[in-house]
Amino acid sequence: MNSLLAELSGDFLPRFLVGMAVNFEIAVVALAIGLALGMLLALGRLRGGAAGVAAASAVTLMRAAPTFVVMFFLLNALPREASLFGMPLALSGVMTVALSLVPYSAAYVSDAGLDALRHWRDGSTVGALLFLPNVTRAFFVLVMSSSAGAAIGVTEGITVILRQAEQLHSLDDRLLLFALGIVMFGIPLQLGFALIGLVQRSLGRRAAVTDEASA
Amino acid sequence: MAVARQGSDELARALDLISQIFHRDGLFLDIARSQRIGTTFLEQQQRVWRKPECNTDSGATNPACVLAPLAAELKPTPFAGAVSAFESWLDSHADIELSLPMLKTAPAWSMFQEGVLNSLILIVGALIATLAFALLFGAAMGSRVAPLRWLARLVTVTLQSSPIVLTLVIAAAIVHAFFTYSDAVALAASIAALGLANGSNAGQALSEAVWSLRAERTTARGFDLFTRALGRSATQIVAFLINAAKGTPIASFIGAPELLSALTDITSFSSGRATTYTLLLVFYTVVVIGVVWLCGKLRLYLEGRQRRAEAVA
Repeated sequence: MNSLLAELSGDFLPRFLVGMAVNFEIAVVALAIGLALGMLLALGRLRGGAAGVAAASAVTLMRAAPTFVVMFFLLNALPREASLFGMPLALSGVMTVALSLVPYSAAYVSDAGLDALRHWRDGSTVGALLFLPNVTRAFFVLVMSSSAGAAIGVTEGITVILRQAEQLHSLDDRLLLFALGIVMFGIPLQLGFALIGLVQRSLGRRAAVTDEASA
Repeated sequence: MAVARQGSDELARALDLISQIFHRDGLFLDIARSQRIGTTFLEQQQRVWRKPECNTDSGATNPACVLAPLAAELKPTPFAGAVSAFESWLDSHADIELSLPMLKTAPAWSMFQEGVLNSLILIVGALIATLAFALLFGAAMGSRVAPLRWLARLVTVTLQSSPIVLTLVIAAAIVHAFFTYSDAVALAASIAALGLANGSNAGQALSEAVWSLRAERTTARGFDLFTRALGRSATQIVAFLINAAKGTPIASFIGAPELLSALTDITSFSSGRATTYTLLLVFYTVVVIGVVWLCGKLRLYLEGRQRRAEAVA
């Protein structure tokens, strides 16, 4: 451990934290777009008919599209000079990763949103509120998945770790550094899951009280 | 080694002799071995440069010692003409600019075929590994032996906390420390990493089902309890199986020679990036839809078994 600390560059921790902030930034963008698109699809599926079939088909395709392949597709298949309403549409690395996560986040939000809308329609506010912990879970999955950006040179947390690992000579030191990375990613993730658990238990208690009152 | 065409005769001669000596004395071979990369070519070159007729200061000019110049022109496939005709027909009739470089040259076609095959091997391997690790972790975390349960839980939390890219890199680093790099080793490391990452999560769902059945004071014990827990956690297990199949392209990050990797190589010496990556997206989406369909059948089978077991109980 001491040899690892001696070999770590002085600015490793600040660089890693900045990198992790990029992971969170990617997850926020992917979830924000996923929320907008996913709720539209959930409304379409709830409505049924032709709109429902179209929305369900779109969700099936989005659920099946692998994030890593979507990322390379966006990176290579979109023309460099593409524009939208006259605005240049050159995607940055961060936006490419964020957009590649949108199919997953939109499909997930659509499923969770559909459940929530059905609960809401049936008069179960508590059931509908389960949407919040479900979306929080998706957010943490997106944070972890955003590490795919390392493959296209986005300087996120894992990229910083891998660049540092290249400068270490022994396998033991590299494995220790990777373990450090797991701990650093694990802390917010496990805190997030603990928070989700708390919210779910609280909603469960409220549901029980509501059921007793209605009985 | 390439040098400038003019005014570099002495540099070229020096580089020739250095390479010749490094091959003969095994220096290149030692470096390759220390980095655990394939040595077949270097071993063959060492044998060549140790021959008396090659181990001379003029060996580099002897055609029996040096390799033939690389044929830079790519050999077309037998159906390259038909592919080009189809591209032209589509362009003229439907105004669609389609480019299929993977079907037009022999090296690209061979890489494409290998990529598809390796992708399918990777997907099947990842599914089997995920299921195997799910059963293993499920049994350990559902066990009444506390130390076994805690150990499995610790490994699961660690794997959950590790982004998949990092898990793959760790698997690759460990595997490369013990084995020489090869396509098979990269595929095996990827299958292990994907199986562990998804199997641990599925195993957690399985163990939760075991504990929930125990909490309901079911009469089932041992293997019977485990199979009923499999039925109860079928949805979660299937979700992680699908996740494993979807995650396979990321194996290209550690050099697994699957389709993404193969097509990226093909686009480095040919045009048609847009078509190539569109086809790649279609390939993986169709394969994952197939996996989803098969996993749906598995889920129905497991849930049906559970319902029948509950009806008997």
